[in-house]
Amino acid sequence: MTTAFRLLVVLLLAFVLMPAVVACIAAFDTRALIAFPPVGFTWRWFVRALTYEDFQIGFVNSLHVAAIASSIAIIVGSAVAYAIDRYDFAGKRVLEAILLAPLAIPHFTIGLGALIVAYQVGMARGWSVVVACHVVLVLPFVLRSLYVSLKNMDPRLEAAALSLGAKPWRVLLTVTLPGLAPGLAGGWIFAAILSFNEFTASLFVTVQRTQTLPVAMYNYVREYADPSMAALSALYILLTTVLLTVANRFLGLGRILGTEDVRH
Amino acid sequence: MSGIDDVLRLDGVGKKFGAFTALHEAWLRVQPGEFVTLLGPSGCGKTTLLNLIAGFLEADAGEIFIGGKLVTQTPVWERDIGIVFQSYALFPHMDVAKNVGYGLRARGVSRAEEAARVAEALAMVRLSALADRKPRQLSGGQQQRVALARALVIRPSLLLLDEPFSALDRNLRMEMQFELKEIQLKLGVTTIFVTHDQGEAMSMSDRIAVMSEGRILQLDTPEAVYRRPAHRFVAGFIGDATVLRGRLLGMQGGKAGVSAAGVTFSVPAAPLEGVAPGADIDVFLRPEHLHPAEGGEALEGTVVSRAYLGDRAELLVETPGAGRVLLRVPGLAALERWGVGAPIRMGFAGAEPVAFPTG
Repeated sequence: MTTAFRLLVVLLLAFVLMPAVVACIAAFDTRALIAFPPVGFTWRWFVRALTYEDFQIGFVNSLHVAAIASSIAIIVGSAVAYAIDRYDFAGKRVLEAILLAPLAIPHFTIGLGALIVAYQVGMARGWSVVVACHVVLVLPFVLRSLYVSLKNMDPRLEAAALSLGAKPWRVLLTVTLPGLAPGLAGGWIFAAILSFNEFTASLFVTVQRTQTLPVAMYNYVREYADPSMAALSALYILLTTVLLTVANRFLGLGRILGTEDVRH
Repeated sequence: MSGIDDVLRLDGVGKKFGAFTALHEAWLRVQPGEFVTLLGPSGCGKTTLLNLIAGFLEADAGEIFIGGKLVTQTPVWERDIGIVFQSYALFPHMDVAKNVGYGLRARGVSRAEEAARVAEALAMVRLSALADRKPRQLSGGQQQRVALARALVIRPSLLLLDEPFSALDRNLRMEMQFELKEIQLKLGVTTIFVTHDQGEAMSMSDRIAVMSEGRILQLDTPEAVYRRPAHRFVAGFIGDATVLRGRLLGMQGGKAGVSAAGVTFSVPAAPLEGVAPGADIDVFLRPEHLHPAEGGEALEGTVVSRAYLGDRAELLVETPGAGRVLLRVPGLAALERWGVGAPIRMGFAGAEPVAFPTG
């Protein structure tokens, strides 16, 4: 590896990590106005971030929304991924395109659209619109994760189970689902992290009662400029890192994301 | 043949994929305990036929009987078969014992009986010590034996083997062939074996169905398909052959006289039916039909290439009249006498070639 290339890698890493690092450092500043570089050290803003009521409510809301939305996405996603991988049917390509479309549509468009539809049916102030919106947003990632797991599974496994006298439902429960378990778990964790971090669409579809943590943070920033936000960002990064590390440790992200071929 | 004991019977089974006919009407009857091989190059229809027998594909035409029962419409899981795949297809999340017991659990066998039969099956394939390993911890040969135990523990009417040796290296392949044949004979299980490897087919089968382009061209013992191929493709696909362009002299009884490279041969007449005397034909000579000779009718030529294989050597000989001819000689003699460029005379004493209309 040449020196120039090494330098490029270092610069790239610095570029990627800089915002997070700056925010984390600024979180410990003693001044009440967020600034960089810091002039002192205090845990005060972490305490405030953790005790501020809107953040606490937002955190619990976000956990609920993330858990429910990613569970729904996993169930819908696995059925669709299985159908697309194993069967030929009319409109298969169209269905695939529609489900992957949210990748190309701006989040605010999805949020705005969901809000308009929810308003028409009188559900604009409820949880269902928030959850539905998040399901749509995370579904493409779940589908991708499950596709890879299905593609990596030898179709002869199911054939062998059938030949041994197992009926199709038994094959599904004892061979197919256990084989997909890492993909299901990985897809779920990814969906949950994405949902937990989602802001743009959530801004449209949440109200005071249903606001998720990123929306609560945005509302806070509009009124205050102290480093509590930076402290919360640091906690966010910590939580996501822990989740990803666990996911990687037990499931292998390369396998879930399809960057690594496990088929022999 | 009464046909009532046939373990497998195919009555005109055919399969099309769109406009492509993967399998033309196939007829086959397999006796209890028989080992029948479907042999042919890739795309010949052998895998399609296996998938039809197993029930992974649905036949467009004809009927399939397994163990005397009509199963053409029966789903895979009710066909009473055991399959060993090329990829072994062991369940990665189950240990060896759980893999082998899968078919027993699917059949609702009691736990005690499952344990006893799994132990027995693992002993049969000499893997008792590895019962609690996961498939990924096993070598290719061991995985193969687990797959075999898993297919046999359910005591199927019919054992199907889909190119089971292709993923193994050469030495292990020979060993597994002997082991599989020994187990097959001991259990007397009727077996359909799919392969593209003529060596495996010759060494293991009671009968071989040689397939090409969706048809069974010849169904006979290994000896018959080698010595009396009924079809030009069979003669070329099984064993090595040198093809000499010749002429049909005449036919009488079941024999035909042909001449090629200045030598006259007597060949079976059946494959030449409809060919007029005087017409061109192709004579197929096996390497063992030719030997170095001093006198008598002979073909003369020059060695252009020599492959020394230890016990024997294969010589490629350029002849003025018949082009390049392959012959097999003892290894030591080849080293001493027939280097590249050496002249050689080849005689045909005891040769029993076959001839076909020109392709």
